[in-house]
Amino acid sequence: MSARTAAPAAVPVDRAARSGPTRIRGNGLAFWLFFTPFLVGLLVFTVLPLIWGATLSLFEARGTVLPTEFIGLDNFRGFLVDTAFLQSLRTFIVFALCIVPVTMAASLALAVLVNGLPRFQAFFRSVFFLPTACSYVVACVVWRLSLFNGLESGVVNQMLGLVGIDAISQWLSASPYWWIVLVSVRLWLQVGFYMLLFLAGLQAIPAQLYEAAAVDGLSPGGFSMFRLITLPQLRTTSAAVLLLLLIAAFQAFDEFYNLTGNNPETRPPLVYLYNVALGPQQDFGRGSAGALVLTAIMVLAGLLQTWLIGFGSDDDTPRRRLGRLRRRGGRPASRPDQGEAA
Amino acid sequence: MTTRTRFTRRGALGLGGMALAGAGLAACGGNTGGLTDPGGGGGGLSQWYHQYGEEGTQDAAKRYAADYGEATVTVNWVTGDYAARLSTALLSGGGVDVFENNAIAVDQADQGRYVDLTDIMEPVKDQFNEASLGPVTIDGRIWGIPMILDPQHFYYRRSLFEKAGIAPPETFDDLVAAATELTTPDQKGLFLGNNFDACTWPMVWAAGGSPLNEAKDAVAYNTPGYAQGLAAIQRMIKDDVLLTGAPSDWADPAAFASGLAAITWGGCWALPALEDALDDIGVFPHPAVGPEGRQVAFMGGWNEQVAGNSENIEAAIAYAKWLWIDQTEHQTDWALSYGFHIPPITAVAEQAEALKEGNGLEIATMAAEMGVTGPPEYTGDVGTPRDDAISNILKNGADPAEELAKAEEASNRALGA
Repeated sequence: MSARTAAPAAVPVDRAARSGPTRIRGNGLAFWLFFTPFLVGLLVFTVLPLIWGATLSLFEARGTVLPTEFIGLDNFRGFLVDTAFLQSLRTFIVFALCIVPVTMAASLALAVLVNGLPRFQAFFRSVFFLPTACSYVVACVVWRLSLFNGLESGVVNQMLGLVGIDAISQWLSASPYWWIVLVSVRLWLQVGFYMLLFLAGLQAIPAQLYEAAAVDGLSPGGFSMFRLITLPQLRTTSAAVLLLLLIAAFQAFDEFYNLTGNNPETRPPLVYLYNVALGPQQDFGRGSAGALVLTAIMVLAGLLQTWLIGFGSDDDTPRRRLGRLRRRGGRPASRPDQGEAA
Repeated sequence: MTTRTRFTRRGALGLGGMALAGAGLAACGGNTGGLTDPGGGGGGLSQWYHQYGEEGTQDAAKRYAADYGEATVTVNWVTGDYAARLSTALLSGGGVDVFENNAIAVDQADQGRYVDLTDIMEPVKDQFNEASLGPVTIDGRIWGIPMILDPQHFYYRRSLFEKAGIAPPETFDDLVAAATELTTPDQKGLFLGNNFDACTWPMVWAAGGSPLNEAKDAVAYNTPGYAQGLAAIQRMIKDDVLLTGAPSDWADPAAFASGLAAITWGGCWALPALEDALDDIGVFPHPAVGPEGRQVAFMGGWNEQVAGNSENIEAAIAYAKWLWIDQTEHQTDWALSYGFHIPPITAVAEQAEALKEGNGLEIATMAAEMGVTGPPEYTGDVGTPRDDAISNILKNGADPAEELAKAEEASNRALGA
């Protein structure tokens, strides 16, 4: 039943038991040959800009990427009272509340459907994954010009017409229509990737669990089986997908920049900072400070999520924390065995 | 027995690693984004243009560059966000020697992004249309050579106006009434861009205000007329009079040419395409807004500049002077052979046949009599609060007077007032 018993018998015991990285003698040159380009790339394109940005954030740097005057934490203080920045955070929250659950549900549903296919699984896996290879800019052009243009000839307006709904002209110029456009384009582009993650998680669930559940009376392929076996077994994958989706939503830029322009209501943090640093303001000091503030928020959100629902942990500590939080909130605690296999 | 070189897996991976490293190093070289040769050094010049929509303009730009005998000039036709790319190139250095710009700003001049061209412009500045010099002059110093003037105004369908018995509007209330009257199930009355904001910048002047006060130490766009005008646009949005969601925006004449709206805000560059597509095109300036208002035509335009970080400043100045001051053949060709623009040198404009009759004459007249231009002192920092206010008013339904008051305060803070 366990992975250990399924290990090939031909593997020598000493190799199987050895832990840690494999060392191959005489490969020092090859190691550095492979490693150096990436190390240089990491240093030049990631570490150095990080240090440079952190330095700039403490200085006045308008129209120049060189620090001009030391101003301490003034750039950071500015963000606490900058209503446009706070509004961009609200935009992110609204966007995340839409895109994260929708993508999670859609990618999980697709993964379950594809996993259950008796034939052509590889074909459908590829079909759903293909949009991931498409550029956001290209997808935005298709969304704006074809699917969601405001004319009656627009694809979505035509479809609405078929069910007797009037054409909508304000897809990109009024709320809540622009959220439909923004969420649908990102959903189309990323759902295949997250479907693959869920698919990998589904295929790692031991078949014996389903067999045992069936023996205990759950109907094979039924919703109870999904709720009591599949979902709990996908907890680690779900936590990873949730974290990745949140980070991706926080980094959203392309679709907002290309579809809705510079409207404060649809300007997420990265578009706002892009305008501060690289737009007409050219304020690299404040832009760098904003980037650090955003990074701190993302790190905190990731740590909080890990603490609450766990990421790669095998024990139930995060679940107990959630239970305690629920009890403090006056709501009934979930049964400790709820969600476990029958 | 022959000896064969064995192509092992390790060898293949080694080669792959070297190829990756080589590609990585190659990617580190140059900063032109793969657009052209950098031009700097070796006596060559790199000249940047934004992507003009008119057919034939790119070939014409290359032809002018090839005609210049004193240096090798490489034309860099920049697609996409020209302002952001240009700004980055001017900041980081390299890749651009001569460039066109439609937004000269005082902060960028102070930062040394541009070369001061006063020495070559001062002797000839009287030859230029006065309106064209406003956007390139800061405290008496001239930072650019005007290339073309692009008045922006309204286009309308004469036949539809005649059928409905409507005269070209002289006040914004007249415009709202005309647009409402001409709205049908198949055609909207007015196109102000997909974001409804195409005419909101010239409306500052049309409502009796201006971007900055005379002392240039505070903004002066917040007038009662401006709030009234923006509220009128809000009403038209609510009444479904305005076209939105068109495949192309207001700067492209396609939406208007295909009959989606009866009136549109547009630029003079669209005139040839519109006259080819429709035989009943008329033009009128931005109507007066509110009791203090006046009719205006906004004078957009492009100006040639030399990059402050160019390695060939003298050669770049000489080329810019040759192309946009000394010879006039290419200036006329650039202004009138592809789209429709007004040459900024008065003598060149006076010889242009296209400006002597019909809509061309009307546009030239309104440009001369009602033209307004934005000052270089109105920088991005100062303008961002107004831009946000316009979005909040037109797309998010905010109160115009309140938003403009907040924007005025923020703009003045940015201005140091």
